[in-house]
Amino acid sequence: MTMKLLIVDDSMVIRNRIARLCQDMRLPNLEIVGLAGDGQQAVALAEQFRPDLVTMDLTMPKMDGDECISRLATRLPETRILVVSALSDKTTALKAIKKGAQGFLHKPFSDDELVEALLELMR
Amino acid sequence: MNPQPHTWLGKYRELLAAIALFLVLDLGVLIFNTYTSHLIERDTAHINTAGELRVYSQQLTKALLTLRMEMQSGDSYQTSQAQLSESYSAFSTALQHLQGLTLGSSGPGASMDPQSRELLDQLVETWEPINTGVLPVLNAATPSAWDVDDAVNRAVTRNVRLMQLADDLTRHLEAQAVSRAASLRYIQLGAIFLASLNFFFIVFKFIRRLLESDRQIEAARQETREILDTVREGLFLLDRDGHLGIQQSRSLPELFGRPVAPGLKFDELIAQLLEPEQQEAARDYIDLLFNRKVKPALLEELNPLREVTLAAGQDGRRKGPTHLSFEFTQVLEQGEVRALLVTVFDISRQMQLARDLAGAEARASSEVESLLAVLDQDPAQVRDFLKSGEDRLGMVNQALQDVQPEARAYAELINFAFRAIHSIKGEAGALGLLEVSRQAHQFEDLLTPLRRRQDLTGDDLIPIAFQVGELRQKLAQIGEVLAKVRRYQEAPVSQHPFVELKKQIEHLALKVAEDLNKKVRVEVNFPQQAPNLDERLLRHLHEMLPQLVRNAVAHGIESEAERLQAGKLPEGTVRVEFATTTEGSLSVSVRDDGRGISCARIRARLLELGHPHELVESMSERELIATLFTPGFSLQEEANEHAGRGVGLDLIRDMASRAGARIRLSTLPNAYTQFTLQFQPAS
Repeated sequence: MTMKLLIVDDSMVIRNRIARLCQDMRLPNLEIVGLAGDGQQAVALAEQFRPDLVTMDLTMPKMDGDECISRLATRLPETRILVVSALSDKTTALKAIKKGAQGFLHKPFSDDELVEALLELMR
Repeated sequence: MNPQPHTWLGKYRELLAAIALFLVLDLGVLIFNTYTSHLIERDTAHINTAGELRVYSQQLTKALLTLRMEMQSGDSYQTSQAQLSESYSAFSTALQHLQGLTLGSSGPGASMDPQSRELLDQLVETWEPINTGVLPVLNAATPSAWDVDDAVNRAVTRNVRLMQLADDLTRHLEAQAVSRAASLRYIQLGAIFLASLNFFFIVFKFIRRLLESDRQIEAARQETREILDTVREGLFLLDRDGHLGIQQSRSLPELFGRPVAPGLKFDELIAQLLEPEQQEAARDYIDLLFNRKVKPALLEELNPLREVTLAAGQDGRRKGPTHLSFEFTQVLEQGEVRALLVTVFDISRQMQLARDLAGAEARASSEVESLLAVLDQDPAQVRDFLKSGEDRLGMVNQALQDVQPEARAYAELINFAFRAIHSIKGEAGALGLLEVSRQAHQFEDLLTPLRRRQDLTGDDLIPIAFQVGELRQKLAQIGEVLAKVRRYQEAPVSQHPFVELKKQIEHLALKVAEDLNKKVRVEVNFPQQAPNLDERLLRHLHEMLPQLVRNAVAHGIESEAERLQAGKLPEGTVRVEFATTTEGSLSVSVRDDGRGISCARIRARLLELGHPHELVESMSERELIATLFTPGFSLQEEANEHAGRGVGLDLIRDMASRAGARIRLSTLPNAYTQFTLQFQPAS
């Protein structure tokens, strides 16, 4: 079954990197349904496409990842969220997991780490 | 040691068996008692009846004799006749009772022992003639004298014998009753003995089991105590309410630098050790640990207490460790997290080592910077400095070898060395070679106290020789860097960057074609005059061209069979064309002679993906083509390594906008697709 992925990050470089990595042969059942640069855009896209997975940055303009996770957890409880954030954000990450995210990936991350984290979430 | 449900009964099996035995024994004795009492009761009745026989026999004989006497004297004899009838009837009834005639086969006669039976038979045999003689007397209203005489004779001759037999029977029955009573006593005694044995067995077993389990519990407690006393790590259990457990390792107070009472709140414990922000993170984390839904691997990664720098005490210092690491393990019971096993490690030493290592790395990198700083200097000056420095150090070294073993010569040598090193330090500082001047400064620090001393010995020179070596090494390193730079500069310039790019494109196209089982020819054409590409532009080309070429081969070029069917050559062509405009801007096009892009197909795909029918139908060709550039859209249903994820064109659009380039797409179904990247002229 193909799973729909929404990529949320305010950095275009990170967004594109994640998108490119999703072409990895190890992730055959992943289809990218959208790329969002801030929390508001992310919530809008998520409501439109109802993704199965979301990669979520925490520090973003307009609406931060924390708030975005809260909203997604309420409106789309089936959606699984992978927090992709900097190492120093451990406290924030803990809060994000408490709010309903299911995974956490430190920035900077390697290709293998991202693929592993997504596979883990797809299980 | 753990009690397991299925062996629980086993542990008490013997005890239960003993109790069951006790009950069975009691029941047996009760039944036997009842039965024997019943027999004794019956025997007593028999004894009475047998005794009565004797009395009735006597009464009968006496009544007969009285009757004869009254008849002879002509007196009224109704009274004696009535007495006769009464005693006869009593005797007969008693005898019948003993014989069991009135009670059938289950009467006493049937259950009598052989000897009693025999005595009873004799009694009946002796009675029978009397019975025959008495009956005519009893039956006649006025008995004849002859009948009475005959009856008297029969009774008198047999009465003694009859009484004797009744006595014998009585005695025998008495003896039998006594023997039954005795056996009843023995059985009761035996039963009491067995019950006592059983009781003692139960008590013994039970006490032994209690002692055994006490011993095991004590041994387990002892082991736990020894483990907890010995481990260097802090160990304790944390319950759902955040209280510390009773069992703790002995090292715990040492690690925390404070007494840790059982039942203490974890919050209170960390309140004195951690900064407020860390405390909050710790609380959040512990909440998550009690949540079974969060995956263990993620929990491990999120642990905010893996490396904890302890807050300093009130006096700014604290005893014991400076850094702790906490590890949390879930204690599960029936799938629920019942408690957390907390392990606390003292990682002060590791942290110190890590800091030292980081310091060393920082120094190493500053050394590299120092070596690179030399490149900013005038080469001739640097060369002169290295040469003179090497000469000076060589002279010091020579002096160290030639020095006379006397204090004055040592002092002169040290002064000589000091001047040489001081010069090196000055020159190195002027050239910005900070690492050399630092090393020279360190050398001076060694020499300064020696210059003041009068009592120098040969041993004082050993560190000098070492320092000379160190400084020489620093100079040699700089020399090496310069030599490498020279070699690098003199190396022949590699081929034009376009050649690399061309190779890369060709290689990629053939690889993708091979993977997808297609035939492809690649043509890469550069303009006659290669444009002057800056590094940034070249990087963009390296990013975008492979994507476009991959798309061309994967999406554009058809399979061999499809091509033949469409009347094309089996081999597809992908052409990459570079062109420069008169303004100096660069345009690059990637064109394939494949199936082209059909708007009908885009429409169909959009409908397939669930977009509203009216919307799709109302879209212009331009809008349809534009959807190809939206994230996640792909015409291909099945994704493979090279296509179908709907990411390629979207990425190219992003890259192009970053590179400040415009994308043009022209296509003709069944003929070609061409992407053109138009770069802005270089400023």
